[in-house]
Amino acid sequence: MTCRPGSRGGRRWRALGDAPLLLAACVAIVQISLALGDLGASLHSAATTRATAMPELARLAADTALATALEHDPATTFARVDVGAVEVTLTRDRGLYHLRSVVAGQDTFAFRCSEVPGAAPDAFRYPGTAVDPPGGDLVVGLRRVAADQLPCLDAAEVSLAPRADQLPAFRQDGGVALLTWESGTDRPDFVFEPRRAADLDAAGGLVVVCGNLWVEVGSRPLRLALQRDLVVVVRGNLYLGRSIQVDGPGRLVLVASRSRGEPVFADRDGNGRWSPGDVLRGADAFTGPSEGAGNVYLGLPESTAAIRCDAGLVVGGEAHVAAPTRVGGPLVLAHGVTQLKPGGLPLQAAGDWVFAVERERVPGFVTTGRPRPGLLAREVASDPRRHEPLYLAAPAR
Amino acid sequence: MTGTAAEANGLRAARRHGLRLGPRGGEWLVAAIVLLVSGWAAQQLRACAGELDGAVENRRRQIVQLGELMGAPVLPATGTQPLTGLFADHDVVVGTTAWGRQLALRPHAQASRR
Repeated sequence: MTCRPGSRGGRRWRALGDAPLLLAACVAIVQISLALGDLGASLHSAATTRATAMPELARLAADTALATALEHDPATTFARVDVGAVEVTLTRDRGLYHLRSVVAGQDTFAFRCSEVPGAAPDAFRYPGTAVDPPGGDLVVGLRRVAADQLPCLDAAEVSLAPRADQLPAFRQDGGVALLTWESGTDRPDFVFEPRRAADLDAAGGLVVVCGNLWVEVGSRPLRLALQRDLVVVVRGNLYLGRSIQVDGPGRLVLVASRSRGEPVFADRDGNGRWSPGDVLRGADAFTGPSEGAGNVYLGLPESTAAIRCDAGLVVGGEAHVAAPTRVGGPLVLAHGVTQLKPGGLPLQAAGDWVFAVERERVPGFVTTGRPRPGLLAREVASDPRRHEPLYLAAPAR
Repeated sequence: MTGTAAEANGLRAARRHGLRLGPRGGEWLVAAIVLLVSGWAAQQLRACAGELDGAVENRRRQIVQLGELMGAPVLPATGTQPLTGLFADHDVVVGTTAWGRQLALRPHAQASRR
């Protein structure tokens, strides 16, 4: 586009051409401003990354200091350790460690951890563990181990744990088995009481169900809110008719266990009881309650949807798969896997979460090694001003 | 006579009398220098920002790796330095404690000697 010589716009542009210094200054300002904008964005990004890295640095320094202090004196109650630019102060009080990391004399981060009696069983470190089970090739994500590497329950701790019939979070249900199996079961049957599920946290991390545990068939998952880890030891069979969803920071581990001498069998016909055609695993004759013990049924005959289990599963007997199943926590199989429906339904050990076995405890299971500090948890100090009321709640007298 | 014609006549008369209108050559030179210097400075700033972005990206990747290591079921062999220079002059190494392998911080020089 051209400007007529006499037009106002043309004169303006010509004026800019008459003042090259002004023009250069304008261009310089724009160029430098854009470059400064880029630099500002980079600095902001660096500051964000630094803010992310600081707590990690403080945590690593605290962990390093903890290991160093306990290496010098395992009974230490106070220590101050410098880890590079981080000054870590450690105090220990009745099995509880408090650590304070000051990074470069500026940012302070506090951590705490409790002492754990030893390492948890190694199987809880992996998404899936099995003792070379028949049909194990149908399970995705399995690691094969020897039988003596399976996790063992701590008999003393289990004997002291609260029983399901004493807890409102469980309910004994005489009819639930008859809805599924023609002849029911020989043991008492329990179900979760979802309205009282909040009481599970009060159980202290370990509950024993002396009987079978059922999660009935339903269209919606069974939701359990857990603030702390919970292990449910089932002295019988576990029947999962639908998905289990665990909300909250706590993790759930369901253990189907059997007493010494109780044989394991693969319920080939899927009738829920020992009958001709079923296969014994590692025993010559069948004895005990007709439904056996330690068996887990993933899906029931009436189940239509896939099972998504947020919990970890320890199967002391045989795993019976009647619906495609995804297990989020560690899956431990002591024996085989039996498919109850044709078509090879998948059983997936997804490994959404596992235990840090060297620093975490799995309630109810035997530990190995010396006592050690548990995993560090960050303590976020609340701002005291936030809780300070602007006005007194009641008029002063 | 229009205004434009008058302007043109005025310019012609000024040139006849040896008057020079508009910017001098020196001004153009200074303007060019200003442009060159500002262009160079802007480029330097952009290069700084680029370097910073690269370093930040690298650091971010290392933090992700650190998270993966912290969540890994099994740590690499003791003495491995999975992350070098993550925190200034400190490296993240796999150390041994009484309870097993653990990630730890070591000064860069000390970690390199191991």
